[in-house]
Amino acid sequence: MTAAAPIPTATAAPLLRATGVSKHFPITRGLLSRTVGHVRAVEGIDLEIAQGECLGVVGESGSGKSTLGRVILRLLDPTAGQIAFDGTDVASLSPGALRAFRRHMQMIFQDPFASLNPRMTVGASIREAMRLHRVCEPSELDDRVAGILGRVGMSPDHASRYPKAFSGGQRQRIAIARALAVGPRFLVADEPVSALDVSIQAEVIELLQELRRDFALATLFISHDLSVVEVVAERVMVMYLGRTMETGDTRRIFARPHHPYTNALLSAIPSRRSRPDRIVLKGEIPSPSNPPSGCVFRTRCRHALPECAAAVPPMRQIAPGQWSACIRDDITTGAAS
Amino acid sequence: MPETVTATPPPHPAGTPILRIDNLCTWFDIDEDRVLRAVNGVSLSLAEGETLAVVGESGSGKSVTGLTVMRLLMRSPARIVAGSVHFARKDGRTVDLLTLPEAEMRRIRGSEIAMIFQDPMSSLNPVFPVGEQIAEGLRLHRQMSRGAARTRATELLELVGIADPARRADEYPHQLSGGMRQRVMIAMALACDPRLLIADEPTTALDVTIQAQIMELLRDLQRRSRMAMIFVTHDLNLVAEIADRVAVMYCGQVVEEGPVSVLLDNPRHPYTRALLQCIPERDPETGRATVRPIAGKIANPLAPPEGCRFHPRCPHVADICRKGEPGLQDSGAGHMTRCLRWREIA
Ligand SMILES: Nc1ncnc2c1ncn2[C@@H]1O[C@H](COP(=O)(O)OP(=O)(O)OP(=O)(O)O)[C@@H](O)[C@H]1O
Ligand SMILES: Nc1ncnc2c1ncn2[C@@H]1O[C@H](COP(=O)(O)OP(=O)(O)O)[C@@H](O)[C@H]1O
Ligand code: SF4
Ligand code: SF4
Ligand SMILES: [Mg+2]
Ligand SMILES: [Mg+2]
Repeated sequence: MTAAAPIPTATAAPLLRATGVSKHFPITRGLLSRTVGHVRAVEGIDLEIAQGECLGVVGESGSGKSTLGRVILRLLDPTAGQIAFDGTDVASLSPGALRAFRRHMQMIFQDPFASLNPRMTVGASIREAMRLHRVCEPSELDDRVAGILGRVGMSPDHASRYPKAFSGGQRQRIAIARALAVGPRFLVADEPVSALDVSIQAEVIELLQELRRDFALATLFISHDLSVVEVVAERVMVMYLGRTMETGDTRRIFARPHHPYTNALLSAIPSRRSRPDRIVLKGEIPSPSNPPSGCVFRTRCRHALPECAAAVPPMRQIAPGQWSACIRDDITTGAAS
Repeated sequence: MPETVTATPPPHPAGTPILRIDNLCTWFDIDEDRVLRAVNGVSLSLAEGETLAVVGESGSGKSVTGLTVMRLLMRSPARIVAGSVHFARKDGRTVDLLTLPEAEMRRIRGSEIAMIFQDPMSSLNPVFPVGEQIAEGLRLHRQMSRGAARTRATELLELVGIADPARRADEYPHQLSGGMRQRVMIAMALACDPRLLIADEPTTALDVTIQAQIMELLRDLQRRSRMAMIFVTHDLNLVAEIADRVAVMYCGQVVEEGPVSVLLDNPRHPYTRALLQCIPERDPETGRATVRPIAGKIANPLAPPEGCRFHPRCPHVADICRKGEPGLQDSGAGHMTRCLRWREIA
């Protein structure tokens, strides 16, 4: 990353700022767990999110989206980089301070079962989260649970049931209720609607949008579905092999992608309108333990030049609200649709 | 409540039908006194070389329809209560798959009719190399020698776009990516040149980029053979890319069916319209992308609403909809709609 490059900025003063964040997982072999290499899951990511703002993160499977989300919440320790939340350096919090800090930063997952204990009633799950963070007086807990369930479109008597009694969409509502119960200001949503039917997906998207407005939640919304991101996120970040390829204003980027990878992703979205100029990317994402030199996308890029292998292209501003890490400006990438 | 619904004869697709499902009812006995009518009076037909997309929310009966055709639902709790599935075999005979002796069905399954699933791991055996699994079908159905089957398996892996197929043939499913496993499944399904392929959400679990590759592969394969395909999906956008005709299912029934362009551009059934509005879409005027959820909850298949099953969620509901159960009506040019009010709301 060139130090001079502007960090793609939040639309207002950022609540969260990540600078140069990397996460490498060691690859170990043998009885002595000798380290033989590293999976470079996230490599030098910069991002900012303002209060009430939603940043969408897109990219193919294995591009590092979930790892980034977990590192930002410090569910994983970063290998490098700073994470500042409202002035606090999250990366250096002690375990005790971190536990208390979690109240401000919550996460929801694709599979709500991952965050709901199957042996606890829905009410008990939500109460536990609130007790842990001392959100309110113990005597108020039941009222609060009923209130938050109502807020996500469930009824208070659902509190006494177990997660398995609910459909996928309802479980996601419950997971959202549990995350919101502690009053967070920042939410990482990792593929929250990817496992849902289109109709249920539309309901959960609407719910998330509404809650985000009402609670002024800053959101990092991870999805491999670009059309969902287009609906929920004001700004978007396109990741590939752990790095940002392009970032900026969602409308701008969807209308006029600069980076060949963004263009390929957008053109792969199935559409009812005919799209004769579809770009079908060949092959699959390479292994992050041995990423290509220079531009990591070059092995699948049909515009690659010899100089693309020389150095990692710096992030540069292409237009107001648009930054791209591609060295070429002579490629015409058509509007996606 | 009527036990089964008598269906209007299905519209005839262009060309000779290769498959004709008539008034199919596949039910599940949940317990002593509850019956789940998963598929209830479905009629569909399919011509050689044609692709029929079956769409609908989860639980609408799409997979059960496919599994019934494959005759994989013949045992309790499943019960085929009514209907027939006529299939035109390679040798020219037309047989009802539902009454065929199992030995004959076994010769058809995996050979003349093949199926691919959303989750490739469910049909790949984790303890055998993938090449061997493809070769097995060839030896069983084509009586090929071990060596010839292996060579053909490698060719098939190449055909579905797997790089370095000879090496990949020796790998186990867990060594492959999701996209590659799906390709292996397709190679396996195509091994014996099926006349009919049932693809049940084959790309739902994949990235858009890999989905685009698989769709291109399927289209390409179909161009080369005269294979007919039933493509099950919940993604209406994908339908436009692959299908000739579409059937929309709701609560065990087909509620609308027609040529793909007619149905997507001019949907008649309120459910189809609502489903189309759920898809995130950009408003060309404002540039804002939006979604519009369907009102209410999906019908409980154990206690479907009386009358039109969609009536509790329908914006056009009238008194008649709560009483009479609509039949499929031809609204012109092979476009069928199961709505009592389609003329008024058109
Ligand atoms: N704990 C871990 N140990 C080793 N490698 C890991 C670990 N977690 C993730 N990885 C690797 O890091 C890379 C990025 O993974 P990550 O889960 O962040 O991707 P993703 O973009 O979220 O993908 P998906 O869309 O499939 O969820 C992958 O190559 C993955 O295999
Ligand atoms: N083996 C089974 N036993 C009981 N009910 C089943 C079984 N398989 C499917 N069903 C039920 O039948 C209905 C239709 O299911 P399915 O065809 O799988 O839906 P989809 O349209 O999502 O493919 C659902 O209500 C489902 O729960
Ligand atoms: S830098 Fe080169 S390889 Fe990378 S996206 Fe641009 S043209 Fe393609
Ligand atoms: S029959 Fe009535 S309730 Fe059913 S779809 Fe038509 S208008 Fe709606
Ligand atoms: Mg992930
Ligand atoms: Mg299914």
